[in-house]
Parts: sequence; C-alpha cells; structure tokens
Amino acid sequence: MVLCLVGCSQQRQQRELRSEADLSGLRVGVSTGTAHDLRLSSRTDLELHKFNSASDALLSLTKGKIDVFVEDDSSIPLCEMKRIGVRVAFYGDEAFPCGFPMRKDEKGLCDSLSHFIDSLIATGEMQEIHDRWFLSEDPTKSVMPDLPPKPAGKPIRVGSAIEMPPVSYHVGGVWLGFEPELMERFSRYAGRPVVIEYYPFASCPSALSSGKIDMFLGGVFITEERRETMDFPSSHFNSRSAYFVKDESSAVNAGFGTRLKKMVENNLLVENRWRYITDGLWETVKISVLSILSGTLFGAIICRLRMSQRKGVSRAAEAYINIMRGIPMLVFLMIMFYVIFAQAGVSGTFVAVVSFALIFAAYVSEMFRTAITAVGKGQTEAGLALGLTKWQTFIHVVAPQAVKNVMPVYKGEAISLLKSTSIVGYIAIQDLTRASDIIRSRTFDALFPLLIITFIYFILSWILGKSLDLITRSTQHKVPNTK
Amino acid sequence: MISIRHLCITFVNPDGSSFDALKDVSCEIRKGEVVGIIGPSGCGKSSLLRTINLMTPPTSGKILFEGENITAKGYPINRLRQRMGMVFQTFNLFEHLNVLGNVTLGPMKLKGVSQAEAEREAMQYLHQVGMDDMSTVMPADLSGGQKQRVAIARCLAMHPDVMLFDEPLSALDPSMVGEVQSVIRQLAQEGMTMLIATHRLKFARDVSSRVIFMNEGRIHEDGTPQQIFENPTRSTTKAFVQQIYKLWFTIEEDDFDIVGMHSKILQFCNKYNITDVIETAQQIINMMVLLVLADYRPLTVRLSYIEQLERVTLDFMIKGLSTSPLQDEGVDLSSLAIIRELGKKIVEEPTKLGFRVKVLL
Repeated sequence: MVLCLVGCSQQRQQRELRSEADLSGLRVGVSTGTAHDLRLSSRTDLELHKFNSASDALLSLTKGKIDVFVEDDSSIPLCEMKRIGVRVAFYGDEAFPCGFPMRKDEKGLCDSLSHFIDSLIATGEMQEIHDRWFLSEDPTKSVMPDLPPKPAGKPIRVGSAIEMPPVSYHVGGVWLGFEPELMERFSRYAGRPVVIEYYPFASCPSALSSGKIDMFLGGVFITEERRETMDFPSSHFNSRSAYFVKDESSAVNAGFGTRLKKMVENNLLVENRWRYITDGLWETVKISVLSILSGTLFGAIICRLRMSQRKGVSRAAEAYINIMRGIPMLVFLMIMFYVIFAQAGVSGTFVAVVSFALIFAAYVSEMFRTAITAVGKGQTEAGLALGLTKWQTFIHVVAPQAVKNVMPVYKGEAISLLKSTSIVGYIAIQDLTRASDIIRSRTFDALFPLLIITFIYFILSWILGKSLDLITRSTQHKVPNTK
Repeated sequence: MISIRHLCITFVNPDGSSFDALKDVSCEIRKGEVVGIIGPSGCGKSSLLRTINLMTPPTSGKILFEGENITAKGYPINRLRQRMGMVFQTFNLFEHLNVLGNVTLGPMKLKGVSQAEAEREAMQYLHQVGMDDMSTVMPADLSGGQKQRVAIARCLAMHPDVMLFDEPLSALDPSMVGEVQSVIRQLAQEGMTMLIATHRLKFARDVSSRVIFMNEGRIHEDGTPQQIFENPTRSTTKAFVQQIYKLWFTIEEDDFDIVGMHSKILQFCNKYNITDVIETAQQIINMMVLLVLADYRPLTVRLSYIEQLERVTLDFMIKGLSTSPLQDEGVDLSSLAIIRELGKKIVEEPTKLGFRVKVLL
C-alpha cells in the first residue's frame, strides 16, 4: 500500500504537463471562488483542493501536497517564481476579461468608469500602464507615476480582494499595482478621492452589497453568473490561466543559518514588513482587551438578569444566552459588520469589539451564575445576619468566593476569545493574523510568518493568563496576620 | 426587650400547598433572659428564632424590639441585625477568610473600626472562646466545635444586644458539644440576652433561665426550667420532656392477631434500643392477655418507654372497672406469681375511665 502510494507520487511528478487534459488523476489546487475553481469543479477525474489564498496553495505545491496549482497568470510576479521554487508548466488558451465588480444601483459611476477605461484603451495608455507593472523585474521596487494632486470630495470606496504584485498590493500603507494606478487615475478623471482598503475575497460581495465599498479590485473575472448580481464596467485587461508546478531545478541548498537569515530578511526587514506585525499586534491587543472588559461587564449584567426572581426577566436572559451561544462567531461578526452596522459610520474595530463582547458576555454570564450558586446559601445568610446589606454581602462575602470559583474557566474563555479575534480579517481589520497573511502573500513563505505569530499569540495568552491571576489575587481579601 | 405579637408564618410550596410554621405566636423576651426553645422537629422553634432578626419575614403579626416595630415597612433591617447576633447550626463561617478575618469583617465594614483596632478586639473575643491561638487558620482546617466557637466570637465582635442560637450543637460530634456548651454557658453567666433553639433538653434545662416548649407551630408551655421539666402542665409537654414513647393495642375479641402484636413490639423495642426487655414483655403480655385477664374484653395494652428515666412499663387497662381484676376470685394465681417474678413491681390503680394494672419492667 505504502509502496504503491510512493510509486504514484513519483509517477505524478515525472509526467510533463502540456494541456488541461493532462491534469487527469492529479491533485489540483485552486483558490476558492475563482474561475478556475468553477471550471475544474465539474471534472471528476482529478482531485480538487481549494485554498483560501495563493500563498497557502504555493506552500502545498512546494511541499508536494498538490501537483498543480491553477491561478491567473497575473497572480505571481515572474521574479518571485524562482525564489519560491515554482514554474509555469503551460498557459491556458482562453483569455478571461477582468473587470471591477460594482453595485447594480451605481449606474452613473459604472458608466463613467467604462468611459474612462475605453478612452485609455483607445489611446494605448492602458497597455503602457499594464506593461509597467506586469513586465517589471521587481514590482516591489516599482512606484506610482507622478499624478496631479488628489481631488477633495466624497470618496469612492474601493476594496481590494488581493494583496499581491503586480495587480494590487501595498508597501508601507501606500497601495501600488496595476489596478490601484487605474483607480488613482480614475480619481483625477472623476474628481473624487479614492480610498482603498483590503477585504478578503469572500467578504467582498457582502461589503459591496452593504455599501461598505463601491467596487473591488483583484483581477476579478467577468462571468455571466456574476453579471446577474453585480455590474461591471468595460474590461480593463485579459487574464490567462497559468498552471504552476514545482520547479525541481531550483532546490535551495543553502545552510540553515543562511536560510534563516534570508527568511528574517525577507519576512521582516524588507520594506519594514515587521511593521505589519507590530500594527497587527496592537490591533489584536486592543480588540481583545476591550472585548474582554466590556464583555465581562455585560456578562455580569446578563448574569444578574438570569438570576432574577422575576420569571420573565430570567427567561429573556436565558434566551439571549442560548441564541448567542448558538451562532458561530465568524457568522455573527459578518452579520454585525455587513448587515446591522452596514450603514452606521463606525469602524471595524468598534464592530469587532461589540460582537466579541456580546458573545463573550453570553458565555461568561453562565460561568458567573454557576460560580455564584456554588457559594453556599449559608454564606449569604451569615453575611445578612451579621448586618451587612445584600450588596455588601455580595461584595464582601459571595463575590470573593465566586471569583475564586470562576477564575479557571474564565481564564480559559478569555484566552479563547483572544485567539478568536484572528477572524477579524474578514471585516477588513489588519490584526496579527492578517499581518501574517499580508507578509505571506508577499513573500510566499508560509511557514516563517505563521511561526512568528504563533509564538506571539502564545506569549499574549500567557500574559493574559498571568494578569488575570494577578487581578484575582487583588480581589481576595488580605488575610490579616496577627500573632 | 422583644415583644412578639400574634406572629404567623406560612410557607407556600412551589406546588401550591402551604405549611404553617408558626400559628399565632406571642411572647415577651426580657433583657438578660436566657430562653431555651425546645420542641419536636418541625415544631417551629427555628422559624421563631429566624423571624426575630427577620431572616424569615413573618406572614402576619408584629415584633417590637425595644419598643420599635421592626416588622414595619422600610425598617432598616441590616441595622437591626447588627444588634442581634445569630449562630447557625452549620456555622457558616466565611470560607475565604481566616479566623481573624471572620471576626473583623463585621466591625470593619459596618462600624468603621480600623483594622488594627478590629484585630485587637477580635483577639479578645477569640481568647474568650479559646480560639486566640488559631487566628490565622482557614475555616476549612477547623473542627466543627472550633468553627462554632469562632462563629460565636464573630457575633460578639458586633457587641450584640441579643444573641440567637439556631441549633448550635446539632451539627457537632458528641466529643465537641462540651466546648461549645461551656462557651454558651459562660455567656449566659455574663448576662447576655440569648434565645437558644435546641433539641438537647439537658442543655436547655441547664443553661436557660426560661424554657419555651413549642409544638406544631404554637407555644404550648412557657416557664422556668423547673416548671417545664419537672411539673409540666400539659401532656404533650410531659411526653416531650420525659421523652416518653408509647405503643398501644386494644384487644376486642379472642381472635386478636397476637402474632402481629408481637412483631410490632419487636420493632418498637429495636427502634428505641430496649431489646433486653423484649422477652419479658412478651411473656407478661401473653400471660396477662390469655390467662390472667382472659375474661376482660376490650382490654387495652400499652407499652411505654421513658427515655429520660430509662423506664419501661406495661399497662393493662379495662374500661368501666372500679376494682382491681387481680383481686377477683378464681384469678390465675400461678400465672400471677410468674408475672410478679418477671416484673420489678405491679401497681393496681383506678383511673378516670376504669382500672389500670401497671407492670414495671
């Protein structure tokens, strides 16, 4: 059995790929939701692996977990292929027109952009712009041409579904690439400023329909299916599919020290990429701490309501707890951002804090209740009989014991929340996990950024746990010491 | 000091049924009195105690404390409770505080006493209850008797006017009862006003200046320990204080289920741990019922056990008879002789309803 598997994989690598028909029997990787995904999903003679980002797929390819990765030819800059250790086996014959997806009700903006694109194509300027980014030896060194100053006014909000040269990427907070340049030029043409923000591809349609953005970038194929829900202006370039395979000839044989130095340089030092990590860390810490604080406060209120003598109040709190516990965090976060707070002009960080706090409150309120109930009724009676008021009894007698009871589970829940914040990338917040995604999408080195953030998350969890221990200790009454 | 007027407490169960714990209870507690409240389980002695500091609010009636109506709406209950210490059956020491912390919490949080002052005073009270050398121990590491003594010190630290003891000895091992009893006795000697609900009759008798006997939610008898324990006026009181347990049979016909009767006697004797008299009692009953008093029907047989006196008696009662059936002509003298041999003493006495032959075992 094992021999057979080894045999198979060797055979797979030896065969040279020439056309799509050769994919039969191979493990083929695609990015979820792309045209390649749609096209190859109907093939039953191959094993389809769907990835959320090209960098994940490329890592799988170089580690031999898949045999072929199908992506747009524009997705990986030529100069990076050698470094990553992949090459293009062949290009697809078909050319796919790409466009900017827009909302159906933005006819005016769509027509204006179409007119702008058409005129660029007519004058041949479009080809010039395209070539400057696509044929660049090192797109990370390319810069925007000088343009007239930014116009003022109501901004056109643009989402970018990718962060990868040469189509759309950013260096030090400035968006670069073929499509951002088009957007900047269109901004001058339309007399409105353009604001570009990263949104994961999966979140873009929701962001568009909820009005968070007016269009999005990312070399999106224009398909009939997509035309039904979105409008496209004229296509600004055609994309071909490229079939990437592992490049055996480019095996790196440098020593470990050299490789590590290269990794640190590439992932952290070039373009000050460590800034992504520190900015993301700050965002993660901010969201976690604020969510834990407000969630604990709200959880205490829910707990009070849940323990109310009045049936109606208690039932309402119970219903809240059951509902919140039944919704997956990611789904709730998306609903809050793209539906409930869609029109309100609040930041993603605020929405994230509110969402996490609401869910955290539901979990911890039940923990609080269990911990309070676990403190014997006799303790309350003794406090009351001594002459303490109900509130004093709670503060001086019940709460210190309940805090001690609840701390082990509460600590776990808080740390779990800290780690759950890694999903905020879906609502365009650049947290620690997103920082690693950005670096990975630029360096195509999946392992090193992941190891760094894993280590940082671990340290954060440890610090959080320790601080909660300290807080617990401070709530416990000082034990008087007298001989 | 405390006037209790027409107090009623009704507990309503979740299923809608209700239970009257106190039924129209009235009494006066004077300063310096040590009142022992006794009575069978469920008689309302705990309820009475717990209403006095309003841990259980009364359903109706009122309580005056030094002339103030404490059952009035809006009365500051917590200030009242600061003047009434309460000692619980289950101690209820604050588990998160050590011995000293338990005693200082009240004065520091309620009377604004400084920590140093509270601790100094706490040590005095701990010394009084013999716990001053364990001030830094956590409650979990104390024995029941030690816990109860700390609980008493905790009350004393609040300088209460009255102390309420709710079954203070019931959760203690027999070996620890003494140490707590002596602390309470000492308090009584110092003139502390105390109400003590207890089922330990000897303790109630020794420590109290006044005893209240409660039964079925009412005060049945109220008097000095001598009155209650030696000359109780009511039969319920007498049965309770002497701890008399009885078993009755009435034999109407000769086909009486005598085997059933013997098995009940067996159960009764096992229950009260008086197995040494089973055989004698059964022999005497057999001879009396089947031979000596065979002509008398209906015949009532009563087996009584007085725990306090450790006395077992058998009574044979015949209604409407004025002379002793043992003096009849033709009575079975040989059987009677055996009975006299088996029992310690035979008493023949007329009663209100007829005639009774009492055999002491």
